[in-house]
Amino acid sequence: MFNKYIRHILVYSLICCAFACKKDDNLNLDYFDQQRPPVKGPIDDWIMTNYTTPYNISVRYRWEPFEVPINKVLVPVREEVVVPAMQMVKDVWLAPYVKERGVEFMKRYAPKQFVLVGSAQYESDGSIVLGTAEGGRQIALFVLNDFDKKNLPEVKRMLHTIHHEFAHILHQTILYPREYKQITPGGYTATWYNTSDAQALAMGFITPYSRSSADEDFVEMVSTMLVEGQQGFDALLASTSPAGRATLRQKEAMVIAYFQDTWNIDFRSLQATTQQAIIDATK
Amino acid sequence: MKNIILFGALLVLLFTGCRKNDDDPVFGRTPDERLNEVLNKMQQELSSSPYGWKAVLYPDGGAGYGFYFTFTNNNRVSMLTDIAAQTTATQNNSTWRLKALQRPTLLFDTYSYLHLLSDPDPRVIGGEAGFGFLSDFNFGLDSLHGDTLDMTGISQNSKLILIKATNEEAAAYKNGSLKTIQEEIDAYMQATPFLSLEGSTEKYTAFLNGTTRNFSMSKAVNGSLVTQKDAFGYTNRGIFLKKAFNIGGHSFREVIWDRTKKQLYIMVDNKRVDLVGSDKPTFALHQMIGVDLAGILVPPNPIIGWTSPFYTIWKQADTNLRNGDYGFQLYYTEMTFDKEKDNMIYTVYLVFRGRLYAGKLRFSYTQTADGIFAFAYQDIVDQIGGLIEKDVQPLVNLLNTNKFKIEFLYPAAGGILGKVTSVDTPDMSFSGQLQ
Repeated sequence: MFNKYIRHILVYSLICCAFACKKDDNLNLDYFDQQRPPVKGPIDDWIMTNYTTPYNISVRYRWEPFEVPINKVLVPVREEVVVPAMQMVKDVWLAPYVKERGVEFMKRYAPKQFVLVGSAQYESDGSIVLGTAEGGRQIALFVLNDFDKKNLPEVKRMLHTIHHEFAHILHQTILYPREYKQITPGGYTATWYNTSDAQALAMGFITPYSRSSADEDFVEMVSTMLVEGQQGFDALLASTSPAGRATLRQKEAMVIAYFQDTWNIDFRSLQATTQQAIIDATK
Repeated sequence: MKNIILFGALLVLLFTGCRKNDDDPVFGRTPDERLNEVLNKMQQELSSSPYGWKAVLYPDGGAGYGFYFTFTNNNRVSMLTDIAAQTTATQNNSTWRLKALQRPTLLFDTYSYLHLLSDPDPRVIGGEAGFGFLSDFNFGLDSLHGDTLDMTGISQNSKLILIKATNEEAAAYKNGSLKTIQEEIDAYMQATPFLSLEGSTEKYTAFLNGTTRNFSMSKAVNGSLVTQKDAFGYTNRGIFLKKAFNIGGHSFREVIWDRTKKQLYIMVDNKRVDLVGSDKPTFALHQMIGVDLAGILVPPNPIIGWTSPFYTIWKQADTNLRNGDYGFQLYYTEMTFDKEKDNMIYTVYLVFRGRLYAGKLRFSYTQTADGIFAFAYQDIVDQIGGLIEKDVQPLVNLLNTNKFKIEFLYPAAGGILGKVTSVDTPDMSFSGQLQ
């Protein structure tokens, strides 16, 4: 019975299709005009040559309102520090890792984006943030407006930050052995800033900040060992109690083992290369 | 059969009748188009003003700062500002760009003089640690009309006004007029701090506070003061107020410095009205404090207006501090009044290992119509205030347990001070510089 009408239905459906409204809107591309990328200058060219082309890393030195926390008061970098600071970051962080494991390793694991901030980030507990790493993709470096190549403590502080953040990226990619957390399990605390340098060492923590968590402990070990070098690290240990020293040696061994087993990196070699790079970059 | 065809035809009509396309933009163009148009206009205006832009920035934290900008089309900007002596003379070169955020936004995207006001590092220009002066360096457009751009900071709601500069103005800025004007006005205000002007029907007093960068204008109404007060920044020829002031139905936004006659004046209804300076105030200090004048800065040694009972108390606080955990030395103490909030911030300046520190304590206060003040200690304001709270108890107690008169004091040697005298304890008073 339905068959009788099916012809009608089909014909009328066909007519409908033929006359159905066609929305005729072209895609509006005006939005893309609004991005207004700024005119490129020598700093942008330098970044392209030294970071973007070889390693696919972008360096955001021009302020981007929502790249950093919006509830903190921060200021952009001075143009004059961008190239000197990033040159040093390349020499003392990128180059040693490239020497150990090659360009492809850094291309794969290095954060894809650096965000540069001129000031420190002031926290409500009175401490300041010097650097942040976000999910392996982005590293934000702070206090760059204080950068001064000749000021060795200042330089070391910045390098410590970058090595610290990269170590986060490495262990966020492949975690270090859980046994590490068992070395000083009771020593981690949210009020790490009340600990002095000497107290931390005696407790088996390389810096007061390493008391903040096992993750921070691990990366503080990595960055201190790299930035101070083997000699510097040994000197730190010599200055503290035998108990502290023994604990730190344990942690040191685990760090070296992690780099070898997980990343096939000879840590001692990396350490030596980094030390030489610091000497060359700061003279 | 006819029915089916009819029915079918009706169905076709139903399904092919177009819905009216009612998503035409209300303003005739899409929001993106309009935004783009404004951004283009801004880019055009900013970079093609032949003599640059004069500007004043009013950070949300208070005060105002004058600027002179030159924008180029390849995203470079140079500027001068009245923040410090060097910044008035040496042009600073940095970058800018526009971005479509919620509103068309001007970003000063690399560090410049402008950022000094936002810098959270207190070593830069003494801003508050972690906050700076609560200023902005990214500004959303409020309006663009004629030669003027009005903008609001996107983080702290600071206000920025930009006005196209003329040839003469540009030359004046580049010649360091920001410094000269500030210096000349400062010198004038030192000598004759109390200003008055004649309106069409009544007399006003005015006060230009170069330290707090606030201008206030008052008239007496039925025995009490009605005051207009707002922040200002310096320009090539005077000061420019955050908002226009009302004087007898007319308004003015600039107070101009006549370099030849050495006088301040305003333009009301196109007529020049001079401000007359005097070293004697029209109103009592208790009427002006917390409004025109911010407060009193008490030195670390006895001066005229101090009595020995006060010095004893002061010395006690100093001894407590020196014997305390840190060995601070008591330096200046400052009382800063905010009449609107009924707050008095007591700042204790300290010397420690050759460096200057400051701890702040907060009092609430009340004052009677004839100028008797009562203070009540509330709380510490910052960390250092917390460290010294116990040690400065002698001073805090004095303020808590006495009522005070606050008056002008005229030393024989000249100048003017503020004197705070207890009405409860005999022979108890202290004094200091007016701020």
